[in-house]
Amino acid sequence: MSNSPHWTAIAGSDRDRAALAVAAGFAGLLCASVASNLPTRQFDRLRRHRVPFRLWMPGWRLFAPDPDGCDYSLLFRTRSYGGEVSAWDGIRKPAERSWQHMVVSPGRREAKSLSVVIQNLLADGRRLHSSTLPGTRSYRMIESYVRRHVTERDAGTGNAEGFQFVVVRHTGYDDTEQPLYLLVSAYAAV
Amino acid sequence: MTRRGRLPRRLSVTASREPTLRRCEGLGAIAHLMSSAEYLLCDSDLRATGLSQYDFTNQSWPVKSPGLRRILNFTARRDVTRLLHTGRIIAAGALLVPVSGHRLRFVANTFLTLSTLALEPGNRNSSDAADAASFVAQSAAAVARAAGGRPRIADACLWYMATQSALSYAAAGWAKMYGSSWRNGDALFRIMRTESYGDRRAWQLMVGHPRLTRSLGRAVLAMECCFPFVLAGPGRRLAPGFVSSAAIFHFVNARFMGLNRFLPAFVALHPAVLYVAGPRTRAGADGTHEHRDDSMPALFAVMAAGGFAAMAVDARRRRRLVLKSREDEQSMLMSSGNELRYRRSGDGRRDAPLLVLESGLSGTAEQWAWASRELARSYPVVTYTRAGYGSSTLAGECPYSLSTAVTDLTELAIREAGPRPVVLVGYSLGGYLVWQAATHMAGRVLALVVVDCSHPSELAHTGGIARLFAERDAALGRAAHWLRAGFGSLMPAPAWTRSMPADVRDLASIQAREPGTWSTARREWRAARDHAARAPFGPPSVPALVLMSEKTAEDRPALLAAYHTMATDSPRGQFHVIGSCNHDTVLSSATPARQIAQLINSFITDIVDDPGMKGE
Repeated sequence: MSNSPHWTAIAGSDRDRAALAVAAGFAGLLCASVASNLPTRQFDRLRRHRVPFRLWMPGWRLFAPDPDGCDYSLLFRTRSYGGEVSAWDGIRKPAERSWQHMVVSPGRREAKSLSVVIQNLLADGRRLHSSTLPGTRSYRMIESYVRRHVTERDAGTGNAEGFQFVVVRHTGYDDTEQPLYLLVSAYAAV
Repeated sequence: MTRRGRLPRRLSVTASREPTLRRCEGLGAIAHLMSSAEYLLCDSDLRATGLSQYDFTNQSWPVKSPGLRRILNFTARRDVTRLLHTGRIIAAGALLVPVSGHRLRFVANTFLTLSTLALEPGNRNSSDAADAASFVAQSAAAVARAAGGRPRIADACLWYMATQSALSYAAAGWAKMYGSSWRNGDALFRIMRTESYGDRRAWQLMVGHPRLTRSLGRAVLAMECCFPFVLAGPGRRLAPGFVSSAAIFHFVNARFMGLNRFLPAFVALHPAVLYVAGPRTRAGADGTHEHRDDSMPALFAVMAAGGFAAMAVDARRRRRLVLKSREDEQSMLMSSGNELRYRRSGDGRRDAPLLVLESGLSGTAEQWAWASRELARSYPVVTYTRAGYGSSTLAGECPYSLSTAVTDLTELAIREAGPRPVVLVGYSLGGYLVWQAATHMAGRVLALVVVDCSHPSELAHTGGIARLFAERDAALGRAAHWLRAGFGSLMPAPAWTRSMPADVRDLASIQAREPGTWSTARREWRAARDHAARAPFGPPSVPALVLMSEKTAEDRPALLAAYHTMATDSPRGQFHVIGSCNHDTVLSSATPARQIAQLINSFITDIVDDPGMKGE
């Protein structure tokens, strides 16, 4: 028995409304996709609607108009109960590329999430005064992310009473440009 | 002799409908499989980081429907998420088995589509274009399989995959054309040097071969921009070449940029591209003729034309509303030939000064809606819209100079004030203009008020500011260009209009989507640079109230110092920072705008009541 459907067997007899409706539905989705992917992001009205399912209108303008050309990293330091402040420590870097990563690269998900939340935090920081920034969702997410790393590093000793983090923009492998310290948090309790 | 045997040789080498669909869903399945495997491998880490959304009861989350929220909360449960990902791996595996039947394929495709939808909100921060591309492949394949053996429906699905594929390259390519680094060839260096999307060895190699790298960057740009041509006309012949180039591009990206899932996800759409770019009649899997149905692109063309016509109608409606403007507006023809629209409100005591409010770059009189209402309780207030914005018209003048705007302001203020003294109040670029106008109105100006005023130091075209200047100039030009082309309906209303008074909110939002607003803003932006380079910006001879938004004060300490100097250098000058606002919201939000009105009120009262000033 063939697994292939009988495409040609009913060809010519299927000029029905269902086929037209499907074609119209896809045409409509394509129109919406085109309208939400214009070369300039100033016309992204359709993308501004915060619907839960954005997959119907994919965003295809990757690395455009200009690639960021920078990495965003987090540094943190802790303060012990005795008031001693640790040196700045970095949170894990993306692993160097290898052929294995072409098959599976689990770390990408976390790196992507972190990058998106940092971008949201910086966008909030451009809009809001620093005194109101800790109340934002993006700030709280980054703070809890760093707190987890502090707790992991501090496991067993329990010395850290508070921590502080910095968002750094740097140019990765290119060390000809100085890193830029974009945002310094206040101390938060571990 | 079979029917297949009578077909031209060229037709027999392109894949027919069923093999094409199988390739699309198979490659898409690989992307889903890799995606779910990655989630299962890092789920505990990702969930513990708090960087993804697993609680949809939060008020800040946009899901308003309680039913939908319940579903999302259910699928976000850890055990359910793991179960879904395991199911997705099994479903993807089923699509990779060549012998799996039509019904099984329908079930597998549908499961992958629905599970992607269910998991996407929670994984929003970590999802990417590869997830979107594989979703396009699987959802279209699910519809094709649901339709059983209807070739027209399958063709619509394949057309959808092919056009989304072409759009994915074209959208990226054309958007990159606006990027200077892609045009000058530096983009690949910028990407490869990063740890997120680059590779140390590839970066070092590129640094050693800059010309080759720049050529490569431009080749990528050309491939992306030209990709849609493979779907129509003579470009169809180039489809295999373009598809091969794109596949190599994704392979390189997978190895050197860490975009591993992009390879199967985007390549999953390529068989559909080859199918629709191929001949309309070809040999079917069972040896019979297949005729491709092309209704979907035709319907797309009709809908796109309809959408464009609707946008043109909407643009005309907006233009009408802008020209109609507000009922209590008057117009005044200036000596420059410009015709200004203005409103006069309030009255106050007979000797009360006239307040003339000047808006910022790309702003209209509506910018002052909150503050002018407060001020009009004590003083006569004039708000107006500079030539070129809203319903005020600009007489043809080439080249445009900011001096004209200063002259218009001076004339309007003198004509409207009559015997009253004048207080000039300006926001942003309007602050710079009133500062200039004060020198032309000696003896008539009682005081100056500036809010987040543009300062010559930031208008000067030097250093890092030059780059920002060029970027803003380009953004203003782009917006004007696309608005003139009729895309205004797709431009969102500026965020600051949301906090404006309800009766002017719509008008302000419509004004912001007028092409004239942006072209005038660009003209003024360029003129401001030239003006700032040659015009003096010394201390005024009248009292000045200098106001600054809290956010501007925090971000720009140099400007803060400059504002201090502006206030201290003027007689009886004052400087205040307006709390809880930024440059955009300092006038458009009620609270800071009212605070500004109160400060202006008490500032003028102090001056008017001061015996020394009366003596003057």
